Amino acid sequence: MAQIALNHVTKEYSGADIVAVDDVSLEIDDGEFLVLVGPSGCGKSTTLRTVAGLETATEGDVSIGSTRVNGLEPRDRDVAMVFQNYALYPHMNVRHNIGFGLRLATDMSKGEIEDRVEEAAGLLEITDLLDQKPKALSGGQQQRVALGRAIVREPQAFLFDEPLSNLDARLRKQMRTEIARIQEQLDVTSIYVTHDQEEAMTMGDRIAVMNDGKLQQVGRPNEVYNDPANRFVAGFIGSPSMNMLESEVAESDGNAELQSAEDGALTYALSAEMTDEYALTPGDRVTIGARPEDVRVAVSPDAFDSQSHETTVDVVEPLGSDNLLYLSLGETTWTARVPPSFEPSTGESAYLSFPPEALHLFDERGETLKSRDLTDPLTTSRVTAAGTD
Amino acid sequence: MLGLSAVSERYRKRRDGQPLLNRLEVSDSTLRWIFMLPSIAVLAFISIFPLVRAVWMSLHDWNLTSGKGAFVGFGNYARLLNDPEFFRFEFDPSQPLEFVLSGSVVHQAVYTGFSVTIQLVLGVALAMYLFSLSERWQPIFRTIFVLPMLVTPIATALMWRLMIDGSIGVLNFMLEAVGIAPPAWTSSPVMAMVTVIMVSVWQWTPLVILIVFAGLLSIPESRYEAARVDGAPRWAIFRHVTLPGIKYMIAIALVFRLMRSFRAFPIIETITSHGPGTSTQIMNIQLYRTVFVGTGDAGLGAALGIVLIVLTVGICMSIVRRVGMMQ
Amino acid sequence: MDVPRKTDVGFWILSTRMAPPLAILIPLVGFYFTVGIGQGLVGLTVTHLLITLPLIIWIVKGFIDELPDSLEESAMVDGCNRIQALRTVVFPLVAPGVAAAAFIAFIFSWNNYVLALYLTTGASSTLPIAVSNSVGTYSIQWGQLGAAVIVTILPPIVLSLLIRNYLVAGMTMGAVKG
Repeated sequence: MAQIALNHVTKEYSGADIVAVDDVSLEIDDGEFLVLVGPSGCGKSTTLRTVAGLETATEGDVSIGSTRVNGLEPRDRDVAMVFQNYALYPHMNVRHNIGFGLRLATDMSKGEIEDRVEEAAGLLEITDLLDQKPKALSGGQQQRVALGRAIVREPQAFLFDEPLSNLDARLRKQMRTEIARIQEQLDVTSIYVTHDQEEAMTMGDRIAVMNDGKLQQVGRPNEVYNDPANRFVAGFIGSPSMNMLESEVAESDGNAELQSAEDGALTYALSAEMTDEYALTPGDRVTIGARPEDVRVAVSPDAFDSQSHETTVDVVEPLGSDNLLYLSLGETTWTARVPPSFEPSTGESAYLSFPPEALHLFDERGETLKSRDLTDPLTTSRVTAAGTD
Repeated sequence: MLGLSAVSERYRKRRDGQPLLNRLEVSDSTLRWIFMLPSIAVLAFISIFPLVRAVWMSLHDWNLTSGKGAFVGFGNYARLLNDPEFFRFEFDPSQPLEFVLSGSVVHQAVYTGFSVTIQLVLGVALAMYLFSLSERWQPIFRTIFVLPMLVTPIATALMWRLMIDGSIGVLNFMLEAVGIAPPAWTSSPVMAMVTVIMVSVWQWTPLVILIVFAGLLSIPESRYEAARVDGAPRWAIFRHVTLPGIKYMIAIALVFRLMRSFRAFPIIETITSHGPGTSTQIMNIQLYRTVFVGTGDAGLGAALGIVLIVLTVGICMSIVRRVGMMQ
Repeated sequence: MDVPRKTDVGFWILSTRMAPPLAILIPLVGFYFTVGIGQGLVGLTVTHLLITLPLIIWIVKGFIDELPDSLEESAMVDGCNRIQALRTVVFPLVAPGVAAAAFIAFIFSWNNYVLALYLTTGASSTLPIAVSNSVGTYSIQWGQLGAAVIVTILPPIVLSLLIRNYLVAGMTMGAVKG
């Protein structure tokens, strides 16, 4: 077991003139489960493959434990990898698939290998599949074999490359727990690549968000969710996505307010403390952000003691535990998560409001000025929504 | 933990006991050359060496057995162009219907044009018929359709030659039995060409069927269903679903049929002996007769060979490039 | 593995297959006379070797292209070097393709008429030549013809049926997956 460190790793494809990984520095602690998440093509898989030795970094160092592994072949890095398509060897049965690495790269006897394979199979509950060929297995079972092949080696690190994306939704949730359980049990340093932010939130000890080859933010799931480093992270993490609105700081009657840039349909009065704290001056362009669960909705403006805005209900999406409302305000659509008891009809007008504490603000470059403030009781209890229902 | 000894400690110990090949630390860049060199060498010998040498030969008087003679520049190419066996066009404006157009280039164009076109049309039709059959009959008909292609060409040629033989030919006998006078299969220039095209169609349509059939199988059922739901008539389904689905396959079939039609030999030579006269002599046969029969004029033959290679590779590769077979 | 100018090399290999064998034979025969092989089975064998190689390369390439890269990568992470990964994972999986390629090349050589027509004579004649010779201009040796035809056409038919699932791929050098 070991810690993994990436030090200013850059990967360029000279032929295509593409920078797949751009100056990424990252440290993964011994036994930690780090999830690399980002949209497709953001360089997360390339980063993982650089750690595995399947790609060579153009610049920067990769070390596993105390060894710098830059020039080492994959087989000399002592890592195990689980691939998106499982990459099971079709001509070998499950037993041989799992034992393949041990047979090739260690001096273990046949008996020892057999014992370890059995043990790994037991841990994954696939003992009765050991003599089957991969073709005869379901997707979920193949996934377990791929996992077995990784854990049997007891490697320095597990590398997962979108291992669950070929499974159906129910199985995916189940395997998510399974992988987390096994990782915890074995306490092996792990890097897990996914494009699914929900997977990232639920599985990772820490999350590293990537976009365009650059590392955007690294932190614990709740940190990344509540205090995103920039507009990209704020929009990428969380489902449904954070509501965002481009706006401009304006002045009316001597008080500062935010005015939606495109259609001017929304104005949001700012307190003097806020303009001071975030140094907002008229003419500044900022993006307003609000999580759907922080947007409160009522049929009448009287329900709110703070400012509210009239909207039209576009779509009501019942989720069972909550209802998602899609509200149109001018040319923008706002998403709000409300209790299931509040269920307006389509076309009705409704009022939305979000307290300043819940507000995210991003500057012109997309960097975060302000994140939502969870210490405030208003935002932590969001039941007030249906006030006048 | 699994409660077993730490594997990682033992992980790198194995190297020494392994076969030499596995212990070698060969870098990828070295390895790719080790893998590629033998093939490159052989390929160089088959493509660069003969090509360069053929060009060299075509610039000399060259006898196949006795070797190089005087340098003649483009003399061989000039001889080729003036050779009536290669190309002949005589046209008298006063008698516009009595023109003469012959030579191996012309025969090649007629032979290739008609045989490949007929094979493609017939092949697509039969592939669609095969596709429409039930699962029970499909394998049986598939085997029947494919068989002609599997017969050694020389055997095909002999079989047909005996079938159309003037005195013992089964085909003549059958035609007479149904009251049709059998044609003079090989004795008129036009009929001889028709006959060799017919045999070529018999032998090689199966390849087109196989290729197009593979294409038909690859069209997803849902695309037909979508067209039917949209209310498309049958011809429209063929035009907008089937044809786009097998376009690539038809191009591939075209490439391979073109390629082979340029090297046709046993069928023509056995059935018509490139005759009557030289009326079914295509370029490949002229090449053979120039170089390997009689005086062994390898200089002229090499010139003809260069023309043939440029023509074949040029036409085939331009199609290959266009349909993206390389990807 | 990335090979520089991969497509160009592939294109070149393919085009060597397109050239008519007779046109290639002319300079080769000149070469055989120079080195003293002349006509005969040695020259015929070498010629066939040269002509079938691009065919085999292309067919096998088609099968290797179909394997997901991750199989080889997985083997390498599991402790193989490039050669071991090739031997233990890639080769067993493309074995049917290699067999198909071998059979296709065999059928090509078995059936070939025109190269043997010049390069072999008398006792060294290959079967297609012998079959052809049994039909004279004025007389047909029916017994000999029948036997020769059967012996000639059976092996290709049997082999073709054996590899029928790979036949189209083989005949089109992997351009069509049957």
